[in-house]
Amino acid sequence: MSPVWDDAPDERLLATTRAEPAAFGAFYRRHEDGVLSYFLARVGDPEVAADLTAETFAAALVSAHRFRPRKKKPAAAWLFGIARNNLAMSRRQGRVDARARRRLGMAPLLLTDEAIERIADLDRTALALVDELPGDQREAVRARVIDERDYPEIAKDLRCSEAVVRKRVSRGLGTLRARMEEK
Amino acid sequence: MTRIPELEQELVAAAARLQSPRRVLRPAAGAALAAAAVAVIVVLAVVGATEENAGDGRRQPASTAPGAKLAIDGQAGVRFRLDGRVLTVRLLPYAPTETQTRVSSARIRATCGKGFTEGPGRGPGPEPRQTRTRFWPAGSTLMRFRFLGDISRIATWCRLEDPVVGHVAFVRFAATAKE
Repeated sequence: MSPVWDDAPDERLLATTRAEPAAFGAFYRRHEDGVLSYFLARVGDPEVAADLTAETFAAALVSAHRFRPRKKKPAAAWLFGIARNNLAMSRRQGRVDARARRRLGMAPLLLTDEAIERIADLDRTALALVDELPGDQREAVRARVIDERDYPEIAKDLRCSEAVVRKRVSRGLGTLRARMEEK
Repeated sequence: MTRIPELEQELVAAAARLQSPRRVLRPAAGAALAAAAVAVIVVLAVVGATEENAGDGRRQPASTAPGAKLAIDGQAGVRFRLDGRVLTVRLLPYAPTETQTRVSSARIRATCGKGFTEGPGRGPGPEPRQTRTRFWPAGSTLMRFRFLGDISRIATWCRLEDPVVGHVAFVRFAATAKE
C-alpha cells in the first residue's frame, strides 16, 4: 500500500485519514491483529471476530476526525474502546452491529477458507506470544487485555502505580505487535 | 499482507469516499439513518447479498484460489465456495434459526450446475450438473461436498436442499470471462 505511512504515529494517521485514505490503511494494518485477537478471544469464531473487527474499524473511520489525543488515552485505547462498545452492543442485539459499515457503504465481508484459517491461527499465535512476554508485562497484558480489568484494580493487585501498569501494558502490546509482524 | 486484505481495501476505499463532502452524511441525517438502520439491518444485509448474487459488481476476493467461485445466500445465511470438485458450504454467524434447524441432523443434497433445463446428470439434453448428498451433523457449521466431476469452471449456480423438506439455500455465481 503506502509504506510512507507505516512509521507515522497513530494520532497522525487518524488526523490525516480524511485527506489521505492510505493513512487509515496503515492504521488498520497496525492494529488488525490486536483487534482480531481481542474479538477472537471473546467470541471464539473467526468469522464473527472478522465481522466485529470490520465494524470496529468502520466506526473508527467514521469518527477518526473527532479523535483528540490525550495523554492517558492513546489512539490504541480509543480503538479498543470502540471495540468494547461494539462487542457489548452486538451481544445485546444478538447479532453483529453493521451501522458504521452501512453508513460507509462497505460491502459485506466474504471470507475465504484461507482467511478464516489465518484468523484462527492468530488466536493460537497470540496466546503463545503473550506467554513469552517478560513476567511483569505478561501479567499486565493478561489482566488488562484478556481479563479486561481496570487499571486501578490491576495496580492494586500488582502493588504498583497505575502509570506503571499502563507502561507495562503499552510495552507488552508493542512487543506483541513487533513479534506478530516478525511472524 | 494483512489477514483480511479485502477489509483493508474496503476501508481505504471508504476513506476515499469520505473525502468527497457530498458523500459525508450530516450528523442529524446520520443519527436518523442509524436509528432506522437498527430496524432494517437484516433486510439490508439480505438485499446486499442478493445483489451480489445477481452478479452486478460481484467481487472475487483477492485470496480466493484461481477458478474458485464464492457466493452468499444472504437470506439463508449460507456461503458457497466451489473449488474444483469440492463445494464448501458454511453457515454464516447470522444464519437464521430456520436454516440451522433445517440442515441439522438431516440428509442434505448439494447441487451445482449450469443452466436450468430438466433432469440431473450429464445425459443427452440436460445441462451438466453435479449432485451429492451428505448427512449434516448437528451443530456443524461447515460441510464439504465432493462431486464426482469438476463443474467449477462452468457452474453458474449451486443449491442446497433437504430432499424431503425442500429448499435450504441457493446462489447464482457471477459470470466470468471463462464462461
